[in-house]
Formats: sequence, structure tokens, C-alpha cells
Amino acid sequence: MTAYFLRRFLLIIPTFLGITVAVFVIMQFVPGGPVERRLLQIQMAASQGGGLTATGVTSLPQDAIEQIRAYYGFDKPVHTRYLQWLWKVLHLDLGTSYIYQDPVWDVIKSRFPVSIFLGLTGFLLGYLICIPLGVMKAVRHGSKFDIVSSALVFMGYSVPGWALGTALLVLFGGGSFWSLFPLGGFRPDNWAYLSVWGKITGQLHYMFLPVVCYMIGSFATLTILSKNSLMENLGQDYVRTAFAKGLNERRVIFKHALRNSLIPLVTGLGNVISLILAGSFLIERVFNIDGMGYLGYTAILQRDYPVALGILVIDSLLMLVGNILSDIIYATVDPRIRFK
Amino acid sequence: MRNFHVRSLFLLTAVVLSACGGGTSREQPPQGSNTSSPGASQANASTNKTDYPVFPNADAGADPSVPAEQGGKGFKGEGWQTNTDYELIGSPQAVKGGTYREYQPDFPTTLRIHGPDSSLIFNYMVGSMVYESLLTLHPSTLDYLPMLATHWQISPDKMTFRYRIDPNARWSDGEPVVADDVVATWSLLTDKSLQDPSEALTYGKFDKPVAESKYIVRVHAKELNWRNFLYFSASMQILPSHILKNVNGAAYVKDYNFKLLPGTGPYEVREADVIKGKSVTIHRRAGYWADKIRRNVGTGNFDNITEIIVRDRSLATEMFKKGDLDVLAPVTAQDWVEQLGKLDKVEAGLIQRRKVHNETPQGHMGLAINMRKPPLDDVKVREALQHLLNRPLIIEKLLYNEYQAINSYYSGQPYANPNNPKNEYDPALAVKLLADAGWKDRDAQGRLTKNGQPLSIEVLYFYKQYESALTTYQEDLRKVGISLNLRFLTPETLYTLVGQHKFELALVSLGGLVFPNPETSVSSAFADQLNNNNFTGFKNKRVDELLPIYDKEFDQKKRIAIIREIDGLQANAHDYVLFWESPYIRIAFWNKFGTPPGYLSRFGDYTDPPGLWWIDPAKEAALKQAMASNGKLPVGPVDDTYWLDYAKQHPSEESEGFSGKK
Repeated sequence: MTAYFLRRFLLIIPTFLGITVAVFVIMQFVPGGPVERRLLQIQMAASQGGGLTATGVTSLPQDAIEQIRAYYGFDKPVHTRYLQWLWKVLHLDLGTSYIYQDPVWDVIKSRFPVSIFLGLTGFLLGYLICIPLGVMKAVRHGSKFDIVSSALVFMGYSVPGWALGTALLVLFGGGSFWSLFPLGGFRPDNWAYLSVWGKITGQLHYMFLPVVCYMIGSFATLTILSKNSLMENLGQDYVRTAFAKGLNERRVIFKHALRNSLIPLVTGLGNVISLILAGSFLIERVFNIDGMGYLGYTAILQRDYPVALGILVIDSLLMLVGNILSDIIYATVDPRIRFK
Repeated sequence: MRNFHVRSLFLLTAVVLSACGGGTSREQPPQGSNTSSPGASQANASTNKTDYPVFPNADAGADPSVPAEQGGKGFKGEGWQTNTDYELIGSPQAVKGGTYREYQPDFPTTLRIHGPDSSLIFNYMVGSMVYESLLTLHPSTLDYLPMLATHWQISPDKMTFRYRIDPNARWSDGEPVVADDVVATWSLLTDKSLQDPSEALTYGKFDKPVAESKYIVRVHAKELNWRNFLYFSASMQILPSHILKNVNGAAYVKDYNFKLLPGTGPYEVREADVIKGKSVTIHRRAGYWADKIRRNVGTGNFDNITEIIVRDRSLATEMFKKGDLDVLAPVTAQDWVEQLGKLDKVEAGLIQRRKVHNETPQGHMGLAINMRKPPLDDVKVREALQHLLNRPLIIEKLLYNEYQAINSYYSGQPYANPNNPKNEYDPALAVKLLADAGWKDRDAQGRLTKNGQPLSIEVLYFYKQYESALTTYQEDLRKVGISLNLRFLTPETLYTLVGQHKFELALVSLGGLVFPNPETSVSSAFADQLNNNNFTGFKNKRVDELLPIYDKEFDQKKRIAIIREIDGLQANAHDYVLFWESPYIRIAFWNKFGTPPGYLSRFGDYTDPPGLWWIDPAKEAALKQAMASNGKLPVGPVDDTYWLDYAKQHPSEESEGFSGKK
């Protein structure tokens, strides 16, 4: 199996190159790159105004446009640009953001607190709530509890998180109705001056509504997966044998069936490493949080290619490694699984 | 450099459309943190302008080694121009102190005022508070006023300008302002490594300025143009040469994104005041050299101006209603009516709403028609497209009656040609025009055809909020047999396609200028070039004749006549399906502010309040009291027409400053 995983790790290289080439090339064909964006800015600056002393500059001559192209590296052919970019990436340099003028790594790193909070909270809440809920639903399959809880998790699944966010902010933000939560933001303004307890409560206070919206759609999958997995195991021969041997129901379910039914859930653990990039553009926008989702979206929208590609590099590498980790975990927890 | 009122694309959208404190706290009176309380009332302050000197201390700060004839101590200004007779700009009753909180829709990627990504409203705001130009324009009369320069000279051929620097002027780091600062600023702006070709073009029209002495600087324009003096004097914000000697364009772009060069203006932004992604606070600094000068009386009143980043407009409205923001501007028509129209806090007078009718150039919005492409090269087809837009219905049903139709590219300005076609909604006339253009047969689907080809047009747009208006238009076109396809794009993509002439119709908005520069929009020279503002491919011989005359015409009344003629020619060419404009600026604010007459300046917009308003201690106390006791405060009239009344008595085209005579 060692050879298998070694092969999997080596396959990361062509897969990674494939992903980056595909995205890099697609970006070249999207109308309106950074050069056009800059020209647009100048054009708008010329046409906008209202100011008493706006200069309203004339059209740019070709050499000025070429100068802008050179500034963004677009004076070189696409393959040269790709190789130059890749060379830098191999030297752990993701480049400099066109928009922020800061190193891409610094720009991405600054969003980690939000991502880790959302990702970790989402992960923990998901597993801590959905597995027990799935177990209870499996044990009480067909009961009123099962039906009502299914209705609730599927309702949550159907509600767009951002729409719920807008409604919750209007209801509980204090602008229109009750003032129970702050109107957006990641953490209190006076964060640096808070005690540890103050930081914990402050953070929870600010992030309660965003986390609810972030998680609302994800309960259904994990809950139903854990329920179905447990029900499948409860129908297995070894469970019947356990009951026949005289074990009580609690011991059969939690000691035998549950452990086996968790195997499909455990396989997702490998991708936990990707939670440092967790985020949701719409929820971050609604709650005015400067997170990874918003960064990635605006990088694409504003044609900040270095940042968009930087996120892609980190995300794809984490995903590729995460998948292998999942396989390793799968093979570890289930002795029947052997990769060749 | 420039006092650019330049909109970012993002902000442009907001214009066209139209804190995170506390946490668990109950609703609070809107008051910022980290602020000193406003000072004592200034209700008895004199409103006589002569009580406020233009040159206090004269040349007390002058270097004694510089002789009077070189601008030093004892300089009399003989043979030079200056202006000591101007009216007050701010209110003498204004009280210093407090914090002003408003929102910005996105965090600025840089606070630089030059170079890539610097042409945003945010950069303009910061720039105009931190830096100063040689002269400035009076916001009401448009007269030139002394700023960093006390006096100026214009050569008889209007090609050479000389300025005498105020010897009292100081940078925020205490260094004196000198003529070399002007030279260094010009050098930076024309430095290619600054990556700001528009600046390089604007200021490349001047030879390198010459510092004749410590206090006298001279510049020579390469070509005659009435704008030269305006741009060099009042648009170019001066930067410190003692720093720039070690900073070229590339270094400025790289190292000064959130670290500002020292300024001479009343405010500063420290690096610690920039909370990335969240807010930027601009502080009034102690020791501002021009504090007592008449032009600054009643301006720059707030200790802190906090720009809070709120990306979602609905959230900003909620924050304002809660009191986390002091002012909401611009307010969209929808929010004006639906969110604020029946709000209890508005009805109780806690929040005030104003529609400020002033002379801010509105520009124009409409569907740019690519006249390079048939059948849009036929003026009859273009005119028909205009007559098929049911503007009264759209304004009434979709835009809350908050807009009015426009028929000029300079609507609301003296440049608008009163004889432009009125472009009524008239489908019958449109059908006739189309028939005259050969579009009278119909295919099996009822579409108009010519030579067997159906009349099908695509419109590009990125203003999602105008989709309903476009759908109404689509339906009206369908009724007469024209197929209109709507294509939603990002702004970048739309303008790229428009710039490359790959479009038929495109919904665009172009802002207006107090001093228009129509060349890029209407010159034939740009009609077939890519990436400029002549979106429609407009060509007209007479306009081409008028443009160079306009550039060299120093009489504002004659310039107005020229632009009116251009406006008429363009309007009759129907190169745009003209839409509508808001004839006023909608602004909502908590009832604690003192404001000068007219709320904003004559040609100003919603960027004015941080500079002109103040926290009125009496109003603030009354607001607190009313909020605590569920009481009410007086509700002021929504419409404010101070500036319209003013304009009747002082037509802008007759202003001395506007005419460039001073």
C-alpha cells in the first residue's frame, strides 16, 4: 500500500499542473483582464467628475497602453507568462496582488482567521450535531421526531444562507426590530483590549448569525448520511447476531453498529485541511466579513489574477493532499480496505 | 495631484442607483467612539467675511534670507493677482469636534492619490483632506482663491504661469512648503514608473516647472488651452519634495499604499488608522498652518471622519437606522421610499431626509448605440429606438417618481441645449421612422424585416437594478416588431466589449464635469479608435471644428455656446437612447448636525458633509433626549432649493471665476 500512496503523491504533480494550466489559459480568454480594467479606470476617471477641478484626461495613446500591458506582464506570450508564474510558485512566491500591491501570500494569510473560524466551527458543529442527530433519527426511524427533524434539516437545506442572513440581520440586528446581535463584522472593534473571556464571548456574539447561515444548508447531508449508514448497519447479520447473543440494544447500536456506520463519515476527515480556505462570498458580503470567499470572488471579478491563482494553488494542493489523507484514514479505520 | 471627483466603477453603480459597535447594546444615540465632544456653541460668531483674514500673519514664516522680490519677507504682490474679497465657504457657527461616520461600499486597495487603482472616490476624499493645491476654486463662485500660493501671474499669451508660495505654509512634518515641492510633484506625475498615464498626459502638457526662488515657481504650457491654468493651479495637489527626492514613481506605488506622504491639509491618516477591510479614520491634525484663513472658517470641523466599509447596501441602511452610521448617502430611490419613507425615526424627526437641489453635474445615462454597425448607422432607426422608451411609465412605476427624463448630455447645466428634441414616448412615430428606414415588412414571428433580415438588437448591461426597465423597453420594442436581447455582464467585460466596439446597445453612465471636456466623447478622431469614451462612433464635421475652438476659448459664455451647439448636434444624431437623472441629491442623517445653507456646496455632492457639517451640541443633546424619552424633534422640509434660488441671482455662467477672468 506504501507504493500506492507514493504513486498518489507523485500524481499530484501532473494533476496540479493540469489544473493551473487550465485555469491560467481560461483566464486569458475571459474578456476584460487587468489591462482592460486599468484602462476602464482611466476611462471612467476621464468621464466621471462633478468635481470642480476634475481634469477629464484625453484618450490614451498606444504607447501608454503598451506601458500598462507591460506593467501587468501582458507584453509577453501566454506560455511565457505561465512559466514565469510557475517558476515563482515553485520558489514559494505567489506574486504580488494587482489590486492590493501586497504579496499574494500576505493577502491570503490575512483572511485565515475568518476562514479557520468558519471552517472549524462548521466542521465541529457538523459532526457534533449531525452524527448524534442521525443516530437518533435512525433509532427512531419513522417516528414523529424523525419526520419533524427531517423536515427541519431539509428546510435548512433549501434556504439560501445569504437570504437567511439578510432576514436575521433585519430581525435581530437592531436597525428595524430587536437589537440582539451586531450588524455584521467578524469581531468587536475593541478586540485588542478585551480579556480572554471577553474575546470568546465577543467572537461568539459576532459570529453566531454568520455561522448559523454558513451551516444551515450543510446539516442535511451529514445527518441523513449518518442516519442511513447506521440503518444499513442495523440490518446487517452481525447486528442480528449481537442481539441473538443477548446484548442490550444500547450496546449493540453504540458498540457495534455505530462504529461501522461512521466509516463513510470518517473518510471526509482528510479534507479538513482545506478548512483554512473556508468561506462563502455571499454570507461574507451580507455580514460584512472580510473572508476568503469574498477575497476569491472579488479577485476574479476585479481580474486580480495573482490572488485568484494563489488561492487556486493552495486550494488545489490542499484538496489533492486531503483526498490522499482521506484514503489513508479509510484504509486505517476499515481493515477490509486495501489499496493496490 | 488632482482634486478628482472620480468615481470608481463600484461607486458609479451606487450613484446611478440612487459598525460594528455595540453588539449587544440597546439602540444608542448615534455617536462615534474615540472622539472629543464638540466644543462650545459658536452661535454668536460673526458672519462678516472681513472678520476673517485671508493672509493672517502675512509673511511671518518667511525665510529672512529670501528677498521680497523673490517672494520673501516684505513681498508686496505688485503686478501679481490674488483674491482677498471672497465670501466665506463654511459656516462661522460651526463647532469643532466629534466623529462623522459614513460608509463606503468597498475597501480601497490603496490610499495613494496617484498610480494604479488610485482613481476612486475614497482616494479623492483622502487626497482633498490631506493635500492642498496651489490655488483652489471657491465652491460657490468658482473664483480662484489662494491656497498654497498667495499670488499668481498669467502671462499675456496665457502660456506661462507664476505662483508665489505662502511662506507660512508648512507640511505636517513641520517642513516649510517651497517652490521645489511643485517641481517635485510635477516630476512624480510625469514619471513613467508611476504607471499613471492619464496624469502623465495631463501634466506632460507643461514643461518642467522652474523654481525661481524658494517661494516663486514658474511653469510654461506647451499648447494654448484655457484648462491649463485650472489644472496646474487647482487640480495638482502638491507633495513634499524633501520626501520625493528619495521616492520615484515606482517606489511611491509600492511603498505608499497605506502610508501617506506628509500633507499640508487639515487632516492626516496614520497607518494605525487603517483597519484593512474594515475602516479608515481620517484625523484632524493639530498645527494645521492655514487654520485661521478665511477659506477654512467653518470647514474641516470633525475631529475624526470614519469611513466604515459596508459592502452590502441593505446592511448599510440597517446600520444607519440603528445609529451605527451618522449619514446615509447616496440613498437609492427604493430605500428613500421603502426604507426611510415611513420610518418611525424619520417621522419623529430623529432622522432627517433632504433632497438637495444644487448644480452638481449629473452627466448622462442611457443606451450607447454603436453607430458603426448597421442598422444602427441609420439615424431614423436610432431615433425610433428613443421614441420607444416609455420613460414616464418607467419613472412612475419603477423608479418611484424620483427621476426625470433627460434630453441633453449636459442636463441641468448651462451647457444643455434648450432646443434639443424632447424625445417623447411615441410608438406610432417610431414605426413611421422605421418604415422610412426600410423596416416595414414582417416575418412569420411578426418581427420587422429589411431585405429578409429581422430587426434584432442586443443590449449589454451591468446595472442589475435596471433590468426591469430594460424588460419594459424590450416589451415595447417587441410590440412594434423589434427583438431586443438582454445580456448581463460584469462592468469590466461590458466596457471591454464597448471599448472594442463589439456591441450594439450598451447601458452606460457617464458623469458630468463642471468644466466639460467633450473631446473624447465626440471627436471624430476617436470614433474608430479602440478604448476611449467615444463609445458610439460619433462623427460630425462641425463638432470637429468646434472642439479646438472650445479648447482655446477663454470666455466662459462663448464656451457655453459652443458646448450647447455640440450638445444639439449630438442630441439630433441620437447616438444614445437617453434615460433619466435624479435632479437632486438624496441624503439622510441623524438630527444632530449643523449645516451651512444648502446643506452641500453649489456644485458639490455627498462627499461634502465631512468637510462642511459639524455636530451641533444643542441638536445632539435634543436628539439624545428625544431618543431617551421617545420624543419628537422638528422635521425639516425634505426639498432644499437654496442653491437653485442662489443660481437665479448668481447664474454660474456669469461668475467671474467661471468665466476665467480672475
